Amino acid sequence: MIGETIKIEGEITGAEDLVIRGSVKGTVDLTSHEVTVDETGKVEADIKGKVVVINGEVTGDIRGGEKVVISKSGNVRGNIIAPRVTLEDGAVFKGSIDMDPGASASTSKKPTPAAQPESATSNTPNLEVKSG
Amino acid sequence: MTTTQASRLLPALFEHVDNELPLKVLDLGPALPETVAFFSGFRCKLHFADLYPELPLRIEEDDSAEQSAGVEGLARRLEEALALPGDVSFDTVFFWDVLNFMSRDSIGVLVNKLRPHLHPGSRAHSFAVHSSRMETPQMYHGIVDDRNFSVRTRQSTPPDYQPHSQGELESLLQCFRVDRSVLLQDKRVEVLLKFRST
Repeated sequence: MIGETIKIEGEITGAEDLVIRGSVKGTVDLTSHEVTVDETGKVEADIKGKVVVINGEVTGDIRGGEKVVISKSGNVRGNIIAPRVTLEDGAVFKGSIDMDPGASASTSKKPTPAAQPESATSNTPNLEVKSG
Repeated sequence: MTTTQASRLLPALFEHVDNELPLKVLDLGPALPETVAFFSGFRCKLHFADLYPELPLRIEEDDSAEQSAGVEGLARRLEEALALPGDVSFDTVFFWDVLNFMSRDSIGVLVNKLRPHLHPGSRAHSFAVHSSRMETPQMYHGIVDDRNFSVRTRQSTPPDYQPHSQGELESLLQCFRVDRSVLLQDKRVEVLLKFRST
């Protein structure tokens, strides 16, 4: 989790789910995992995730392997590519949405990354931040 | 509050959709949940460029500025507001009633921005009016399914209401001709447009 007072500029990669409550500028690449931008989160970055949930503010392109959800408090300016996109009432979105409902089946057929050893996922933060 | 309204023209917009090709749609209104949900059933690229918050979209002129400078200024504003993807040619354009909040000159500038993103099979949907004395409609729309619009109540009234008749719209939208139109109960006219080369 990136807390409310944290500001990160650079490239975020990793092999676990991420919740952003602070500010991020750069890129977020968690292709096999869930990325959530919470209500206090402010992201100026391209985001890649399996599932991407936006409750806060995002300026940038979003790629969701399974789906992208913009909740009622979400505000997105950018382009979205995902097989399924859900916009909740009250959400603000400006940009393009590329949807291909058939693509979710083909995505699920892709080989999934090897599972991380238990010790690597339970205690050790597995997010990598490269400063930009 | 959201209600639905049947449309006799909406089905025509989707009857020629080729499921093998991604449908490319330009929506000049706000991104609404029901519209996104409807198009999620298609392979599609859906571009939302909500022009309502950008109103008034006028050609600003003063004593020192020439008409061309005003046109260029509006063209720049529209280019930023539309943010059209460079390589996309749209199959369908939803104007909703935004043209009724734009002057004849401003619509000309908008058309110039849209024209490079249309193709001979492009279609469009718009609302015109039967009488120019009509009051500003207090509703806006999304798409529920291929036969029904959603109808929502506006929180605030956009400025510069200057409604256009069907004939006026056809002359202003130089890259479209009116294919069919339906007079609605509230004296608005629902208009289906097809591309015309100029």
